Amino acid sequence: MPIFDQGYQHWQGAISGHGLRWLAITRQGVRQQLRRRRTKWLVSVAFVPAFMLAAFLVLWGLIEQNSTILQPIMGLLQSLPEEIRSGPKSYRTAIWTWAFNTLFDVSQFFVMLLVLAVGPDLISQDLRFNAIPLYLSRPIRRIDYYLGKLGVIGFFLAAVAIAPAVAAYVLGLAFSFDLGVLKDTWHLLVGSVAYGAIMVVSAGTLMLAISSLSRNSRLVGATWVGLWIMSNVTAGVLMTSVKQEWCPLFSYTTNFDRLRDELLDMPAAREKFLGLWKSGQNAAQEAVRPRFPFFRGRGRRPPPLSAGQTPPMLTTPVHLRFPLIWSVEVLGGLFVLSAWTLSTRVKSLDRLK
Amino acid sequence: MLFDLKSIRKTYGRITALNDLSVVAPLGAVGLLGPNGAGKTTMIRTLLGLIRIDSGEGEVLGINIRRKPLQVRQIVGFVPEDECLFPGVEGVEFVAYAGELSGMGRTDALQRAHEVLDYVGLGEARYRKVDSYSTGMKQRLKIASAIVHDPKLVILDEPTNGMDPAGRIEVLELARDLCKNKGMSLLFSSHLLVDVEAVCDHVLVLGRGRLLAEGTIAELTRSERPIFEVRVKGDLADFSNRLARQGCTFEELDGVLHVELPDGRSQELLWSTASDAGEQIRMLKPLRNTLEEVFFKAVSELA
Amino acid sequence: MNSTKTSVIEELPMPSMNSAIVEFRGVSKWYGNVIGVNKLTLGIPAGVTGLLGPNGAGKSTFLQLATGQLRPSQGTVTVLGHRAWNNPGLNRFIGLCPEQDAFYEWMTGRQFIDMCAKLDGMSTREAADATAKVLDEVGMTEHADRAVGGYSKGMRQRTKIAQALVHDPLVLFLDEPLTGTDPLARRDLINIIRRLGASGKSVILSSHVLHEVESVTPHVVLINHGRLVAEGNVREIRDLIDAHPHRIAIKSENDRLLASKLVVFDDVVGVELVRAGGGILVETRSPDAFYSRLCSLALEHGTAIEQVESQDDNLDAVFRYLVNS
Repeated sequence: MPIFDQGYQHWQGAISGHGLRWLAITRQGVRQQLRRRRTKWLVSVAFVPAFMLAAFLVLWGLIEQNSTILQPIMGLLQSLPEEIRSGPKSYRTAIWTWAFNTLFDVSQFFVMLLVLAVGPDLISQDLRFNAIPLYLSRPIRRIDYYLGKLGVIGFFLAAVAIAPAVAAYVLGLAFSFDLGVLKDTWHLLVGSVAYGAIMVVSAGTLMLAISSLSRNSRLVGATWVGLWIMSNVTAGVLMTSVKQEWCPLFSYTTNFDRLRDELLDMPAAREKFLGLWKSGQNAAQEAVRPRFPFFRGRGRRPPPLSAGQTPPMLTTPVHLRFPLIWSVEVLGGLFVLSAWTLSTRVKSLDRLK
Repeated sequence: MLFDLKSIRKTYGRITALNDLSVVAPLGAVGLLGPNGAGKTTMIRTLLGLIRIDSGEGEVLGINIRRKPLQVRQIVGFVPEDECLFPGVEGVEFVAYAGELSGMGRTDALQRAHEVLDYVGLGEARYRKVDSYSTGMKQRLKIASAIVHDPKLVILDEPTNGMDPAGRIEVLELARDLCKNKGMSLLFSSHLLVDVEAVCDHVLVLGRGRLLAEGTIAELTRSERPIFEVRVKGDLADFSNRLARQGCTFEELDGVLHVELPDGRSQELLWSTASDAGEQIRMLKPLRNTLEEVFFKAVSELA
Repeated sequence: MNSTKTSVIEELPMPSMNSAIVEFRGVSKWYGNVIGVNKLTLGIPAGVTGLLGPNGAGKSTFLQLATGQLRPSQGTVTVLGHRAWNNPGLNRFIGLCPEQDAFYEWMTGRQFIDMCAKLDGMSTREAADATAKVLDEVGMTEHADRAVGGYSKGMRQRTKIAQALVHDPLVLFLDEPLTGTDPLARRDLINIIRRLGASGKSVILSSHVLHEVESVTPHVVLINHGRLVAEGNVREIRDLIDAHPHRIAIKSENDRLLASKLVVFDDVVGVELVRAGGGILVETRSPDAFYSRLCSLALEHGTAIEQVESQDDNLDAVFRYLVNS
């Protein structure tokens, strides 16, 4: 039996290709963030809206099939408008669109919180502990570094916004027993994923850019919250005082809302519900006792309206009534600004000591 | 041949960091010396392919630094001077992460990290967070993460700066072992010339962006004339007078006699003189220029 | 000059050659449960003294106690015969060059030292003169009017030493003054330190780079674990270390023959043949006896000695033996 050399040994192993180097950075970042309890808690809480969406889609699927499982709540369903009960499938697209829109609307809040939880440390800690030379002296490029860090944010946002939406879609599909659903609603799937991707890229690069501006991650977090809140406040103030069409653009999250509106094709859904409401109004005028349209079986009674005034839920909200291209420009501009900030702050080592 | 730089030129605005630098370094342990501002850092960054040079060509272990900088960094390990960490990780994860960044798979990197940490002597400490390490341990950790991907060249930038004597000895021993026994080449940049002498065989002296001197240490420190350093126990003046009477020329510096023997005589002359005088010779060795003297001489051409 | 300035020390008695400039008597200092220095008793004479010790040995605590920044938990610290703690008047005679690198980066070197001079109580004119003088002494005159932010490490160290010297103190404490300096700046700084020691000031130099301490002074103080390990001349300390026999490297025309001749003697406890024609390494318990017989051996037939050198008669070896044992 020979004696084995305990000292240093040479290594000949497989080296992965260059395209996946950023994955190592993402993996490390995700691992580190998942160690924190608050991240785990936030991620699990952020799944709740997705559960609710899944439940709703399942319910709708059962309604479509007039399933016997729904016997116990038949009473509630009686209050649904006649048109829906008789031909649910024609309202399918609208209902699904509306449901997905609500999901994203609610999870928007959690998304911003999650970016706040995992984002600040990403670059500011590296700057504080001077890890950049350690990265750059390895066979990776700066773009790999950025992609890797962006990937961390992307992972969490995908886990919280995109994956649940896709899972809920699949569940809803399963419970419909009708492949026609796919034809009607596939654009929702694509739109959800696209929306998620845009959020990752936009919010992700913005957070990375802010993170690269300071060595103090708490300051970065505070800046993010400040931006979020102040932008909404500014937009609100401007909308009430100046009352111009472009005022809502000042709110960062409103831009996302506008994009989502377009990607999920909410206007079409609203049209559909408007038609429903109008016919309901006509029927009410005919009947002795006015019947108020019920939505979603939840029994929330909208306030009585005078004839001729449409409820706010059925028309495009005030703060979204501006051309889509403006939001695209705002988000695009922010992206360019973030990218430029990143490239100057995370300096390559090509400079005087 | 370790690396070959031809007429490298790099300016930052009005400052010329590298001024037509041409240097060829052999394999083995090479020392890099130079006053502040000589361009050592810039040269190191050029070798790592991190800098876009204005003009000139260069090769590291046969790989062109302009065209394939990523490949260069694949076979080069770098131990930076400044304090730098991946924050909040344990020692083993630190080194494994460094390996992953160089393209190793996760299991490979982890296994290799343990091997390398054994080698540098970080035992149980590898399971603690790196923030809690002492300076010596951080330095050894940096060396470990520089060799995790088995590079052929390791560049050490001021590795013993600010370390206590025990730490310095460890780092120097590691460096020596890597070079002499494990076949790695080193580029050792340091202001502590004693350390360079202890580890390297070959030195490069830079100044103002240019190569001022180079050669093996043995060559550079050889004295032109055969002079001996002598120290005696008792009266130096008496001893030196006796030597003078026998035809030696000498010079006294700090209690040490620099003696040049007359032609054809050997050290035997010194011993017989000592015996006659009832003296003890406590030190006798051929005078070598210290690396420090070589350095000052090379740099004096700048002024 | 501000005549209303109250000073505890008006007239300082010049210490005699043998009395200690800095004296510690049974000094202990702890931070909670962690002990910084442990019953330290020593006296540092005039001239240049090296302060050595591994990391965490208590050197910085020592310096802080000596400069009056810390109060000893136990015992007394006196500098120039006066208590060090809480004695602002003493600061006039002490200069400290700290390890930390903290400047007002936007000031020029000259402005910074001028500010320090004024803080020491000098008038504007005195400060300007002292600043110019001390800048010249450290060789920073040509760079003095640039912002500190643009200085190299060596320049920063020189500025730090300048600010410690500007008020012409009697005792100078230097904490790692040579870190990060290139060989040129180091040579200049070592010359400055030597000059200061020779001019009658007391310089206490704390450094990790042993061969440089050795080149400046043979007198050292070695601390480990907050306790005094050794104090005095390096060679004398070496002689006192019994546990390690002296190692002497010899090259001769016939190493093995010489080795066989040496082994006969009682004081020789070991002879090692160095590989690849490197001569022999002899370990002896009494170096004096050993050296005295070398002459005759060298003149004997067949064993002419070409080189003799002690391997561990230096600070590095002394440090290693004392700290590791």
